[in-house]
Amino acid sequence: MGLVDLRCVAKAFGPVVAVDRVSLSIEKGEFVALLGPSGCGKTTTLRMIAGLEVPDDGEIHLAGRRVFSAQERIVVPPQRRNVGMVFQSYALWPHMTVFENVAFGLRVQRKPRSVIRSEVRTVLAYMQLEDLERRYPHELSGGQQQRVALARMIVARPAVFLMDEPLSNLDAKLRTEMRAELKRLHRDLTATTVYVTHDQLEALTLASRIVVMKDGTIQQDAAPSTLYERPANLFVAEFVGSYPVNLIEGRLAVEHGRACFVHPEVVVPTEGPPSATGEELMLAIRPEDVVLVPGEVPPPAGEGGCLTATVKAVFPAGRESTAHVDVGGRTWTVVFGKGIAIEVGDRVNLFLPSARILLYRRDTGELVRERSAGP
Amino acid sequence: MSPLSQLRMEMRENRRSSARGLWRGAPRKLGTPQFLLSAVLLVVLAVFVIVPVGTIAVDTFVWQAGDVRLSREAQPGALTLFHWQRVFRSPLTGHLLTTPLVNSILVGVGTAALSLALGGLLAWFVVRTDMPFRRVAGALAVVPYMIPSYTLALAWLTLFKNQRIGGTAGLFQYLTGVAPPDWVAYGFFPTVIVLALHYYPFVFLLISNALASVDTSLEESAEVLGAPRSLVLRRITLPVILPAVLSGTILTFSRAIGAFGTPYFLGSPVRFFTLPTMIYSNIGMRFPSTANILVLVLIVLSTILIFVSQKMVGVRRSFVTISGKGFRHKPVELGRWKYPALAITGSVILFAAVLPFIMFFWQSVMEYAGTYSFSNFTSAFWLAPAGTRLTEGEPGLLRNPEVLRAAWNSVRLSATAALVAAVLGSLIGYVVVKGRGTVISKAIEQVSFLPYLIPSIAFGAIYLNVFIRPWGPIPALYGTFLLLVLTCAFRNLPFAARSGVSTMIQVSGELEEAAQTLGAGWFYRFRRVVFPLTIRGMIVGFSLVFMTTMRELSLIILLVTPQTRTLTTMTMRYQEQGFVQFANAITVVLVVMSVIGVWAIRKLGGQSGGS
Ligand SMILES: Nc1ncnc2c1ncn2[C@@H]1O[C@H](COP(=O)(O)OP(=O)(O)OP(=O)(O)O)[C@@H](O)[C@H]1O
Ligand SMILES: [Mg+2]
Repeated sequence: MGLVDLRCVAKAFGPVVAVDRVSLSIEKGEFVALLGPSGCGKTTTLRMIAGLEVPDDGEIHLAGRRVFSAQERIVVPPQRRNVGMVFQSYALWPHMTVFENVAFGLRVQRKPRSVIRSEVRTVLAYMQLEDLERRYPHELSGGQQQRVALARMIVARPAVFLMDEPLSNLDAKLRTEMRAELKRLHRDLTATTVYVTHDQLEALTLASRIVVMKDGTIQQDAAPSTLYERPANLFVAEFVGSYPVNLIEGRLAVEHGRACFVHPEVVVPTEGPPSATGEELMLAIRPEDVVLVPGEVPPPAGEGGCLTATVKAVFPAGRESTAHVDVGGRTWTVVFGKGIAIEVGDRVNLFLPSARILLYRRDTGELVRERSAGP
Repeated sequence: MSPLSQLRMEMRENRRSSARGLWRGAPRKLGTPQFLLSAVLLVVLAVFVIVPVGTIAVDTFVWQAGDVRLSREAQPGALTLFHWQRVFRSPLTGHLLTTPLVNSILVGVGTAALSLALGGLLAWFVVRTDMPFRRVAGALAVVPYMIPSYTLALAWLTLFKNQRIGGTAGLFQYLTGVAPPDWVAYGFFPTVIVLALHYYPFVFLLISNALASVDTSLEESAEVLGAPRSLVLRRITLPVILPAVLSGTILTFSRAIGAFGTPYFLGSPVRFFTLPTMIYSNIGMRFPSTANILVLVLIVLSTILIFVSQKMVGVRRSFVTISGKGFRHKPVELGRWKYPALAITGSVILFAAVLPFIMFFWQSVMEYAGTYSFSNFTSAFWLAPAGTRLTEGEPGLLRNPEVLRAAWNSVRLSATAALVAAVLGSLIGYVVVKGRGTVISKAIEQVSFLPYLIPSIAFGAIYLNVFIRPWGPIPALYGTFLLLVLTCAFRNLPFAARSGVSTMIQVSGELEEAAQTLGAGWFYRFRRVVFPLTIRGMIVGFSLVFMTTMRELSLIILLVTPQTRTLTTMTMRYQEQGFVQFANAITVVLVVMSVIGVWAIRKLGGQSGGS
């Protein structure tokens, strides 16, 4: 059993199903990111772990203790769950100084004054806030307020850190800085962390595991690299990645004794044995996996399919430029290096390596054929 | 829509409908402190609000002892529809119901509009601009509310009365020789002016409180985007303070349609009746059932009003303007409008507070009432020892132990009632806001507002009826100080509850939740987080109730006994006995005490409210 364990947890607000039977197990020391578009139920999930929201159904275990069970009507209130939470708004108390804000958790625990003072000072020093302890929250910058919110959580030594988009109110530079800070925090304290964000870069750089959510359900729960390499369904494939994923519709057919993805303009042999032929499929490929073949150069060696496309727009950007091309009425993004010069209106050849394509069933959106491990 | 996204939508629909069956049988929040608190509040409200109102409602269907005068069929104790028919379907309907009802609504609308204009403008000047003397103006702007409204009406009469009601003419005629026309002296016009001058501080307090808590960065960000100031005001500031504006308007409207003293003094000379004066006149003529039906009409009227306004406010409720992030204020520069603004503020305060006060004082040092010359000066009504001929043996006010006791009673009553109301109001605000959307929260909010719909005189009569005998575990309370406290506290609960709700709305829920996740139990976080953050609102609630109770007359007039007599009831006594000078002198004392009281409250609040 994990340190945090959600079993079939569900929550509806009136007619809106915010979280729909989510199961999730988080081991000690993991840094798990809940990633998903706005309104997908990330915050609600986090708040249910904290106890701030009472689920309608399911069970929640924290550190081996059952803190919620719908069946047995167990609801442990937040103050007895030993979790720490950082809110998106920081929720610093405006009537308390930085020191008092941070000391709150220890005062609740009725620690002796001297202990409180030294522990708060230690944490404030760790968060580089030692000169600000007498200030009030409105006298601090956004980044400093964020640090105070973190310090306030850390000092109480919770079993789990819960963070709800903690960096969303910061500017880009501060965000990068605080990301490093959070990384350091997690390394130093090896605290189990559940981190809500809709910024995939944050999730990919910070988390050891990412849970992608949509409409209250978990779409995929995997390591960042797996998530990127093998999105479990079309939604994840489209949601994750710095460029939008390239898509094209086709079907599975047998050609020359091989199972192939077939589209009027391109045929790509697939790896592995043919399954149900005739199946309606969606091919997805990451822009950086599409090989742009200029002019008459023969396609690269290896299995794959070739197709011709018209260039619609070019975005030169130094070492790695991108272009939009038209493929069967869909706009694809392709990435190409310095050596290649193309212009709008050019016809270019695209090579889709069999090893890099992802095939999804069009009816369910699920991945049907995982590509084999890299070349 | 692409086939794929359509597909996904369908998948989602399927999941939703299959999941819905699971929601049933989920655990409830029973047993949480918040729920227990809600339950306790509901019981308290039931005992002190619902039951008394229910009692009078039932009484209207029963023949009363006095009804034998009205009808030969009367059998005291038996059920009847007679009273309802008399009010709604009889030749008397126009006189008893229609005319007073229309007059009340007109007075309510006029008063609310004028109060909103005055209070809103002054609040904006004081809180958000660089108008000179802002602090002084802020302190003085609430003074009119401390002066009993009926005395403001009396001041109006002293100024503008003509010889229609006999006696000497007013100061205006004394100085100009021109008799003011009836419509200036009596009826609708002066009633609206006097009520608005009396009630605008209420709107002022609510709006300035809201304005002070609006994050100005919202406005600044709009200005940075190049929006003209009028647009910022309309699109950013107004929506955020709208809850306060609406609460202020509703409270003023319902207060005005329920006001008794002012329409009584200003309306009777021209037989201008509103519902409350019609109620009073029926109580005076010992037709309690007719009066009770009119009370119910007033309640229904205000209920409709609230229902509509809640539909409007409900949507906007969810503005959370105090977040955990700190913010600063930057005043709006008025430029050349600085002094016109000061002039407007100054004249409102002058006419509503300073002039009446001077008139009261002046009249308290006149040997013969109505003669405005220096030779007519006397200090006897303030300082004379007992046995002076001019004062018919009564000692001067400052030497009179009865006056001192009444003053002490006024302070004691106002402070205790305000404390009870402010604490209850804050707790109500807390459970209403925290439990937003639940039935119990709605019930508490509605019921706590109910006393507002009952005119003071009727509220006093209801409490007298209900608590004159022992009721369940509650002993008979007539003649006790406690009954006065309960009456004033529950009558004024809507002030405190509204103030509690609007304060709690401003305190974002996450501030409390942050404390909760740090291990703080309910009492701890209420004491250390919720309470300190809402103390400002609580002080507003306290001062509102304190000021109201200090100047309360019609609410307690039926309940006081010689031991529990207050300054206002003494004024009434002297006025009835024709000692205009004594009555005015006591009013002066009353106003001075209120001002000192409020000033002290602000001082205290300023310290504990900190940062
Ligand atoms: N207190 C509430 N009352 C009603 N509906 C709610 C409440 N809280 C959340 N919801 C609804 O539940 C759904 C999930 O909300 P949630 O806050 O968990 O989304 P989220 O993934 O955190 O989104 P975001 O990235 O915008 O913060 C949304 O449709 C939201 O409107
Ligand atoms: Mg969220």
